[in-house]
Amino acid sequence: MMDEEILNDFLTETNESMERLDQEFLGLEERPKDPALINSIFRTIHTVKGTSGFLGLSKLEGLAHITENILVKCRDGKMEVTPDLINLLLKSVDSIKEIMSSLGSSRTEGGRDISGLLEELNRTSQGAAAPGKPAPGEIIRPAETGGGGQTREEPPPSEAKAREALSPPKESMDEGFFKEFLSETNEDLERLDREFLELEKNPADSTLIKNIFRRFHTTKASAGFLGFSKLEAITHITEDILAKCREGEMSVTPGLINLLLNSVDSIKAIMGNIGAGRSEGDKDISALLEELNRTAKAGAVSGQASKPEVKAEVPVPSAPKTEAAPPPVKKTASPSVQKVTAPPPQKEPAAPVQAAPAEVHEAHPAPEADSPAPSGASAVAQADTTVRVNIELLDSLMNLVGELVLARNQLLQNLQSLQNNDLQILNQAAQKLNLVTTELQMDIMKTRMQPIGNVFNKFPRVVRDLAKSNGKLVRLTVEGQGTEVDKTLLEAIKDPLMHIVRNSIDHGIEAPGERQKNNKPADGQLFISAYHESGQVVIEIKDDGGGINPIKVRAKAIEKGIISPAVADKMSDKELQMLIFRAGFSTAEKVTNISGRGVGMDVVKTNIEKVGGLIEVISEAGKGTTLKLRIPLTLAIIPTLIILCRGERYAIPQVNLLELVFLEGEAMDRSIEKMHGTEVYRLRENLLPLIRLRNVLQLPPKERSPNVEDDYLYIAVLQSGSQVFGLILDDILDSEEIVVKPLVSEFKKQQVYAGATILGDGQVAMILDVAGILKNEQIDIERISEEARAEEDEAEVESQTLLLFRVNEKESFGIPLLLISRIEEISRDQIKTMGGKEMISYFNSLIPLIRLEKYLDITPPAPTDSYSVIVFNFNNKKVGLLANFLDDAIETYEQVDTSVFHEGGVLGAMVVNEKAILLIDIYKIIEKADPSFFEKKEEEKLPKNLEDYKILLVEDSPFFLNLEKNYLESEGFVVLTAMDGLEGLAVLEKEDVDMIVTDLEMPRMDGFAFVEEVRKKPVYKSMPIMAVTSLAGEKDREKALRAGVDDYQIKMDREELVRAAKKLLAEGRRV
Amino acid sequence: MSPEELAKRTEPVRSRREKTERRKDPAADYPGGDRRRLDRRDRVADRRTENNLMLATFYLSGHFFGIFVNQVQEILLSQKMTPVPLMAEYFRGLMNLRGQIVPAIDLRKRMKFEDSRNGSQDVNLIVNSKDGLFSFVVDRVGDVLEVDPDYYEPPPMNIDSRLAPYVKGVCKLKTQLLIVLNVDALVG
Repeated sequence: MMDEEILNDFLTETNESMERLDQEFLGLEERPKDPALINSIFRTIHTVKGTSGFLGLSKLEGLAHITENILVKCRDGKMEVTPDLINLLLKSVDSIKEIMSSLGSSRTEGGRDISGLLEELNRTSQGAAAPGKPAPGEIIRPAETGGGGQTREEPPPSEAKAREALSPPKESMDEGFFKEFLSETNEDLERLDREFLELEKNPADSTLIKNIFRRFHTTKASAGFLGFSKLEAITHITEDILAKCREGEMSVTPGLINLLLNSVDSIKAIMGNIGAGRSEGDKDISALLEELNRTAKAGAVSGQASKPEVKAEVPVPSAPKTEAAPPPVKKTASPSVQKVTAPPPQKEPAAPVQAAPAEVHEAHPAPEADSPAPSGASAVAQADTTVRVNIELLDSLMNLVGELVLARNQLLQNLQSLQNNDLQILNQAAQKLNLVTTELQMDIMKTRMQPIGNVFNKFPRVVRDLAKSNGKLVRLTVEGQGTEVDKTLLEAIKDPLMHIVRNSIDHGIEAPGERQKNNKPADGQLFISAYHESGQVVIEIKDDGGGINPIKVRAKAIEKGIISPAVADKMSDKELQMLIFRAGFSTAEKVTNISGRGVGMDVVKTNIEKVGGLIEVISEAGKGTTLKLRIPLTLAIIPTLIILCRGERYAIPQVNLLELVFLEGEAMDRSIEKMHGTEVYRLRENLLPLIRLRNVLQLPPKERSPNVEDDYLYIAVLQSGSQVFGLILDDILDSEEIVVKPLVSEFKKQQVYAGATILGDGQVAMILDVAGILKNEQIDIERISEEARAEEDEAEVESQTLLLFRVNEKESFGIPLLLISRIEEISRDQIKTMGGKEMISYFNSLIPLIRLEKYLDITPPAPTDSYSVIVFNFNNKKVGLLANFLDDAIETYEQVDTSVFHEGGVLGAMVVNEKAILLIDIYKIIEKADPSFFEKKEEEKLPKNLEDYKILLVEDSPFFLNLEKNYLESEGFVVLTAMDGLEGLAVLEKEDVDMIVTDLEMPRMDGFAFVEEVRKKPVYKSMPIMAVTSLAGEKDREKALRAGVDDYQIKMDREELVRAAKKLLAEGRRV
Repeated sequence: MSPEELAKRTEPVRSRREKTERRKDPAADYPGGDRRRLDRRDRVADRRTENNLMLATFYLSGHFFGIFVNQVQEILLSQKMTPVPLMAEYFRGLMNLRGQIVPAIDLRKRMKFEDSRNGSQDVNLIVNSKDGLFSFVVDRVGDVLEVDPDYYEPPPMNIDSRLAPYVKGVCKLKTQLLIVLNVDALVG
């Protein structure tokens, strides 16, 4: 029944104007006397009223009508614009919005009862009217105006008068709106011609008449808004005629159509002038107007008894009660309009001049009017700078361009492999294709771009309402509304932005009283800005409120169990502030007892990250908070880094990529350290937690190349939100712009993939989702680095990695992985027996083999065909241990039990995964097998026998304590032990010690403090001190040397440890 | 697709089939086609009618299956695939079908058959499912059969439990049974 197209147009138009209304009301609150503003608001409401009447939306019409009445009074000065009134009017705008959304979804006005609001509006309207003269427009209750709607004359006389009075200042004419008006009206005119011709054929077609009516109506409204009175006059009267045709009061005859077409032609001429020179031109249209007027009246008379109250036949400028409206000033003020007012000269001039208090502009000449003859064609050309494009079409264009990009990639890639002179031309073509594609891509992308102002425009209203309801004063400044973003992205960030703004007011900006107490101006500042920066859009939301108090956040986070107090102690203020983005920090109910912002910030973060954006918080307690969002310009084509993992290519979005680290050969093993179960890399003094892509994808680890020098890996330093981590990759290939292709849901479930793409060679590659990888690995990077730091001080038990193997079915043995040089698989026939000793040949050298069962009391194994040889390398001498079964390499924190086994060659036992493991003392075993193996090359000359030296060993880990003690004692030293620095000091009190060997990370008192403490005492100034550690960082080394350590050794390396100890004792402390 | 359209679409296949039958190696025209001729009697429908069911047939580990021909978009010989880690084992990977990314499902693994290929090339059956295009990787394809609806019935109760979730119906051909698979169940 209702014309779907009309309704849709109405919905879009009205929704847009409602957004504008919000803004305007807020402006009005600041400048209650601004007539231009009141007029603009009035016009918007008026249009809503008119259109809803036309569409038979009685509820909406009634609401708009009463609101309009109040506005008329405000305009005429019969009512004062108070904040209360604005609140009431805003309520009415809200109601309109609600009805609009109901119309949008269900095509009905919705069941919400608005009678209360209507009554209040009515009361307000009447209350104000009572003391003064009766209102020019009588109050019409919705019941009267409503009903079928089609009975309604458009526009009613009161509106005609009102609208007539409303011509906006031309100088304030919005450029964008003006252009839109031109293109839209020209489009409409084109259609009108066609429609009139069709109407001639089917004079009874009511839909057609309605369409034509609507076009005139729109033009009329816009013309009125822009102050084109000539245009308005023609369209108005034509509209009246059409209204009569629609109601059947006038029949459509060829003569009438001719007349109407004349009117269309006149409008076209005027539009041509407007397009060329911004003025309607000085062509006399009074003859046409008169004819139209006559027809309108005649029709009315001939149709049915004339209704006295319908004064629609009166052309706009001649409305009798013009003097009631002061604003015509503006109209006369505008030079171009002044000329136009000439055509109906009899009545018009009097009114504006009378009412005009300011004639400033009167004197201005109208240069535009003299400007070269405006041709219709050029006007159209000028007006057609904007086009409305179906979004589906745009999507399809986008897809096509994507294909084009792929074709280009393909061509370029193939050319590289073919290049020779004959291909010169082809190469040029490819380069051109490259250029064209890039340009096309940019252009098409721009068609999807929308100014971010579309989102920002909502904020003034939200800020106002929220500030009001919270009793706060907030001044909002918005900047960079023109910054353009892809439409889809705009949609995606709309809600998160709103959330942030709400939070700023809710939790950020303090109440006026509190602000004054803190020597701040009573009204808080909220500053929202957007700008482009290196291919991204940056949005900042800045307030000068209380900031995020790290202490309160800390308390809250601990209370909620997000972090432990110990971890919290190690966190910087900035890190504490970032906690507001943690899931679980926020609660459903408002967190008002803390000044931090926590309501759903994790959701905000997730949503921003979902579109490839980043969010950052910068806050200073007491001074304010800035939230910085970085979002990509578009989602469809993204720059990526193509990497390799187990021969397959993957794409990593460049947005997440900070830098690449290349490690090869030994550096690989040396630089990647283990810290509490996670691999880390020291990147410029920062611990970078590492994730192996192969582990993420559950692929087997990379095979080590037999030649260590050929081994290499890349670490991609990636950022997701505030978390930075390293992703270990096999290799990197290239950077490539890729087109994100849709994937079926089955694949989307895997959070490590963001999508898929087709690479230059036509092969499919997966796009990795950096945030997803982090989540998937179930490790919270922030937490790990926090904990790692906490542990550095707390020095918990260190872990050891053990290789587990067996020589028979039953007993399991373990050897610290650090001692092992490599592992070889051999078959039995590779074992050669020479001089009673078993050997294997290995790279031109012979390696002696050791069978464990010969030196330990264990069951001899059954002979097998293949063995694993665990190769050790001490002093450049190699020796191999035969193992029948290699089980696993495990990381363990378990303690070594040294009480059970005292057999030479066994360090102790431990239980791992409910399995007992014997720890092998490989040095002892080797010595048993070959007593000359550890033959000292050049013995340090020591003044005393080794047994006369007392060494204090300070080590918290029983495992290492036993190991190191063993090493030293086997050389003959007397070893005293202590479990931490304090104990060590106690031992020093009692015993006369020749040297100290200390660990660095220990509980209670760590190695650094211990050494410093020792050095403080003059007695120990020359005491040789050696530090042993499992951390081989340069930073620690320096720190230890500064504390007063003489030498620095890695645990486990017996040879080095013993050599260094002897050297230190021989040379004494270097000073 | 209406039955008329369906008939129109499948007609060339049939007529070509009849033409090629007179040639020496009729199956040579079909990608991965069945070189051992089907028994002529298996072509159940004696005359072409609008109601006849059109089934695209293929072999999996020696078993004979069919799917409705209107769900088959095209048949391709073995394609380059990009394996995707972490996905179910039966996902062979993703392939590029003229700019569209199509997941390939290894039907043998999907239905838990042993892999019985003897190094022969796979065939990709590009099917249109409720979730979009998928590729079914099968051993080889057979003929498009026209079956009288009278010969088609719902799956029997005692059907192999491995197959049960994927079977739409059964066609009693003269020499053997043709199991008609449910494309949507296989991709879901």
